[in-house]
Amino acid sequence: MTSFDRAPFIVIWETTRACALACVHCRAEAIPRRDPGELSTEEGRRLIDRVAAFGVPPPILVLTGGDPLRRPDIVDLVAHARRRGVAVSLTPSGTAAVTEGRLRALRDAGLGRLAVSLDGATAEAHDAFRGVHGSHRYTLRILDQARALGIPVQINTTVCRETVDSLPALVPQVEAIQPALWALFFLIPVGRARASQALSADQIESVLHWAAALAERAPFGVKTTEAPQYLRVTATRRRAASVSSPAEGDSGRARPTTPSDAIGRAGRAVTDGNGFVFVDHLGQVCPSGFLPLPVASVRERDLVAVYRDDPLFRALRDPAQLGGRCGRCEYRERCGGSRARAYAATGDPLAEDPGCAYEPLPGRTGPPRGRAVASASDVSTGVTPERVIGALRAVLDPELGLSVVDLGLIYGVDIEGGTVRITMTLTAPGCPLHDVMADWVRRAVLGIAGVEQVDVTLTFDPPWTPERIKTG
Amino acid sequence: MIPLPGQGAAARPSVTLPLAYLGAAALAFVLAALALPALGAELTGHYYHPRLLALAHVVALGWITLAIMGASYQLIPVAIERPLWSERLARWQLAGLVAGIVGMVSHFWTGRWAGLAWAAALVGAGALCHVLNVALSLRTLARWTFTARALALGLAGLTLTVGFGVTLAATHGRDVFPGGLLLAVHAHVHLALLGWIAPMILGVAARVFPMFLLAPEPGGRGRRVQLWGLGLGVPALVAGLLLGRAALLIPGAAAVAAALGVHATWVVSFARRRKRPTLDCGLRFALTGTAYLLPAAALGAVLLGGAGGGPRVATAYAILALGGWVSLTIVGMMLKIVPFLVWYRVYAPRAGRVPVPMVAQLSWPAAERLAYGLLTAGMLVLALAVAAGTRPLVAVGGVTVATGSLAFAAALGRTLLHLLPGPDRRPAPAPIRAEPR
Repeated sequence: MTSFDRAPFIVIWETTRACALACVHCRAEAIPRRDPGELSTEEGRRLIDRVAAFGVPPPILVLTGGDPLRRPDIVDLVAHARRRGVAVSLTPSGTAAVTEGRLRALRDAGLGRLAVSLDGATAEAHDAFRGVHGSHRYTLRILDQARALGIPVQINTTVCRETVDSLPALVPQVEAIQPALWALFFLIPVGRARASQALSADQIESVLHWAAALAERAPFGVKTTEAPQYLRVTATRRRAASVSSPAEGDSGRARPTTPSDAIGRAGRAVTDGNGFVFVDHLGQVCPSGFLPLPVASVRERDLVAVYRDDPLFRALRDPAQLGGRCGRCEYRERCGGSRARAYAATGDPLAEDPGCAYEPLPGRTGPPRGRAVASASDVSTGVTPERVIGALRAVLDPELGLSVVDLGLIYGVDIEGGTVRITMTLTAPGCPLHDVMADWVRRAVLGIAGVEQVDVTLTFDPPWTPERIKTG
Repeated sequence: MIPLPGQGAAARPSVTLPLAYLGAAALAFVLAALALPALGAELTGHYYHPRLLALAHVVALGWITLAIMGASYQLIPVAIERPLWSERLARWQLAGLVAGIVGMVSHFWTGRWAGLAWAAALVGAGALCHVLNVALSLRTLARWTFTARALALGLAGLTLTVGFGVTLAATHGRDVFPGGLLLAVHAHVHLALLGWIAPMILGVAARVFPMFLLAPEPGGRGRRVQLWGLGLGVPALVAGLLLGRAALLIPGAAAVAAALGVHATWVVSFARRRKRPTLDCGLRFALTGTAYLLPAAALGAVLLGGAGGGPRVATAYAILALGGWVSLTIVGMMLKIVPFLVWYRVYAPRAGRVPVPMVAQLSWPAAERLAYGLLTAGMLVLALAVAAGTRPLVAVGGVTVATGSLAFAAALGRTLLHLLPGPDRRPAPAPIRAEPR
């Protein structure tokens, strides 16, 4: 059983396929008008209820499209998710439909993060990729407005032959934007995307090393989509660093999550059907948007049951069923390769990932041993700081309605085996909720598989200030 | 968890004690508001009318004083991190205060002064019990913050106000004050407003507004300006009124104005620098209440200068100060405190074990919004109508405020229903609505 057997880390809902852009690589093959068969508001609410039903902590919900802002009920859906304790991210298209008023309404409804695509270092390159003149300008305006409103932002960039050379030039722009996360989407040839646009395995490997080096110095997080071998690259680099810098290696800790990283990160690779589930605009459940193999409709079946019990999903979470190099790889438990790329290339979602250049070590199917690989998370139990933080997002200040994480009340998370030690504060000394909140925190973390004991320490040094709040 | 010193289970503040005070206060507010439509003639006449005296004491004692005491019994255990010195005394004191206030108001309403002094003495005894209880609770305070100092100032003001009031009641009909009875009444009213009520609002606002608005704590010299402004200004102003000496009155008023000005500046700063994205009705009430300080102070300046002043303007000034600034602030704070207390009693023991509603979901947002619209507009209409002497408009203002008070009571009542035993008897949690800034 992997830690994602009971619940995914992230649920993507393609709220609509309507979009004003005409991106050359569009997975969704977006259309100008909304499909009458889209999930209705009420069906959307029910879907969100089922996302919350995965348990504590609930998965992160990403409302995507098309352009999700083409739905007039999008603010209500965000608010509904927040009421259910689900952290929500939104991926609007870079168009004039995103106004300051709508962003403010989304923020007030509890939007946790806004993810915006930036695919070129110049307006011409970005607009050419997105197929609409002016999209770059709108994208930058959205980012400015979101930051002014205090909405954490994420930059999404598609990595393919058209964009790969622009990546270094994009870095200073991304640094200036100060996102919580820069997500690199490695192109999978589905939808409008063609195989000729995708990078080779060696090119992907080069980009991943470049990205890992960037992540070590950048003030924002860097993640990859459809390139889970990034985890192997970063682990290799950490191991190399521990040899050259024993003191750092002894600590065995990864860089702390950036304070603005409000949505949180999974401690291991999240891949198609394994920590990841996609619901399309008609309610069809797929392992991911890049692995378009619908197994059921949420109109007919329960999302939770589909994710947990559907044979395809179970197979995708079973590393023993992986074929080729992925099946022999010592990282198969934590990486597993891109199932979407395997499917696009071979028609078999369990085949080896042709986008990975790594040749597994002979005779090893587990992660390489050594202190350097261990981090603040505990590999043996699967308990990671990200999972703990994710669980703590369900602990809400009852008056403010913000989680203890977003309020900046969590000062530290220390994991040792099955024991989690949490250092936290309260908004004011003598707060009558001190016993309630500490107990709530303890119970939330105890709900994580592998956690046996939780110690909560309250401190008022340093005292809490409103500057610690991470979301508006 | 590691408990903090003095924060064991025994330190949990009582929920029923502040709720009893706040409930009695809300009842007094509704009764006073419901009386407004029937007092059109009195409101457009001279303020020294028995029924207006009755109304003023329902508001000042029944509504404002009981609400402040209730809020104190919620706030003080939090501030000192241990229970109140004697909750039992506070419960007996409530009974005495209610009996005394009913007695005083009845005497004023009927215009029968015999027995007024005894009722006033009962209120005085209750107030002294409060002073004693709070003083003994605060005696071990490790750090005298701005709020604690303001509370101490308020307690001194309360002691002097009730002493002054008992003296007025006991000497009714006798010419014992050097400037005459009306000047003594002016002094008594300002001692209550600026000596007792104002320090409590300023002190609590400095602690609670940043907490609710998620704004930085205030700092700098503003604290001293407020404390010294009230500490020196109120005695000078009251003495100036009592003796009819402008040399005391004007500097006293200037010092008080400086204190209130800094307070208003602080509140504006909290609102501007807040990290709380949405303002619920409670906070909007409190902020609007602070905005009422401006017209109240302007009218006070008019009365001080003697330019255009008169009995109706003085009544309008009292409406803006007590009905606008103080009452709207207290309504706002009650809409925050009461749901929290109810949540703490009913849902806190279950938090983390089963899904529990948020505090905001215990209230009735529609009723709160209705109350906000009616009370904020009604107080202004009433003050303008009284100043102009327009009785039909006074009736409109009175009905508006009365209806607003009922909406406020309905919102509180729905929150209190959650105290009923058994989840089936409790109202369903209200949906959380994102409210505009």
